[in-house]
Amino acid sequence: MPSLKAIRNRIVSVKNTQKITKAMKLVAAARLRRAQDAIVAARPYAKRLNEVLADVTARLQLESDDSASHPLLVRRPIGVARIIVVNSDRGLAGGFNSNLSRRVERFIVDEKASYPRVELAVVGRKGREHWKRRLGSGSAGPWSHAQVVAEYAGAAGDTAMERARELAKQATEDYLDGKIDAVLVAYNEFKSAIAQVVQVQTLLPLEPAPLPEGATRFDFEYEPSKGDVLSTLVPLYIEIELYRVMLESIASEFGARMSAMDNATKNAKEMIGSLTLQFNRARQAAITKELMEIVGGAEALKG
Amino acid sequence: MMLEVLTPQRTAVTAEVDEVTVPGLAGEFGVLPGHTPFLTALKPGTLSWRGKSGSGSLQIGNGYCEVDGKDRIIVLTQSADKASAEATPQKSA
Repeated sequence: MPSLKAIRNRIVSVKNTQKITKAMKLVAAARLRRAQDAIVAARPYAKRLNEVLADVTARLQLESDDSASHPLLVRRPIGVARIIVVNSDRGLAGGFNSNLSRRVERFIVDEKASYPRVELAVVGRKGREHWKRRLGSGSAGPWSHAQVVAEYAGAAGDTAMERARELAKQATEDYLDGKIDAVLVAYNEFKSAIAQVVQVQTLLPLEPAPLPEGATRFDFEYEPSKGDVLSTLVPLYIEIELYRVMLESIASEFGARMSAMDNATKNAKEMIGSLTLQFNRARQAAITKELMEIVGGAEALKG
Repeated sequence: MMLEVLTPQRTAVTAEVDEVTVPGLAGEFGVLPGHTPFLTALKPGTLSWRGKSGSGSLQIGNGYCEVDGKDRIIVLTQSADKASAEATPQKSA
């Protein structure tokens, strides 16, 4: 049985931890709200761009077969695939980072037939640390056909656009240069504050969306030409997709942290409860023992 | 006609206008009501408009402009910042 003092110290320490987890939960909740607002604000732009892009690609395919030769639409045999992995800089967010890493690991192994070589562009400190351990010198393992080619700091709300632009530019350039044959992105999709789903999504080659039924739009005049317009739209599309991915990931991170910290706070409360019980029991035992001693002593004196 | 300027971060402008000047990839062009449906890529430059409720201008980045034939002009651009005095560095939105 630990001493009264030891139990009291435990209680104080758990209470302090609880204060921290509670504060972290509140901070995460506030930042989650802001991250959600950013997602909503990006929607009209993304929606419009998707529509127009679907329209242009659909028309290009209807009209001519030289669309098949547009470098961003053409499918070539995949030698090297680049996966952009979006982690966070900070931990203490439940399974946010580990779920993503595990999923990407499994993807690399399972899809080895389709993607014989994999380049990872890792965003966020947690991801960098993970892949350094996994793919560090001397470790062969089932991931030996993968390597980290670029590392970036995690994105916060105000740097998300910048980071998205950087990633998009690099990926598009390498794709057009033929250095890589596919661009994928792996991230936590934000479902709700308590649910995040890891997604692996292909960005390039572009999947031409079918022209929505009944949504026949005016036949536009294109300037300079459909192909040129497409060449402008696709980088914008990649950029906005990556921006959306960044925002989803940021929102997911705060969501995950919020629920992790909520659980931690609850656990701390429970622990304080059981420690208090233990403390009271120990105190009662000490008092009883003292009383017995006094009574015993008095009894002995009576003789 | 309606002018809408959208950026990834926000809707920069929605306004009823009479005339818009857009920096197209193939040169600056003006759009008046009743323009044919038209879609073009943009290059960074100044977008300006005039209307009953006043006129204005924005510095825009890469993007495209869509005139939909239903008296709506939609401009999607990476950034749209208020253009104040010339060459005043602006914090991007």
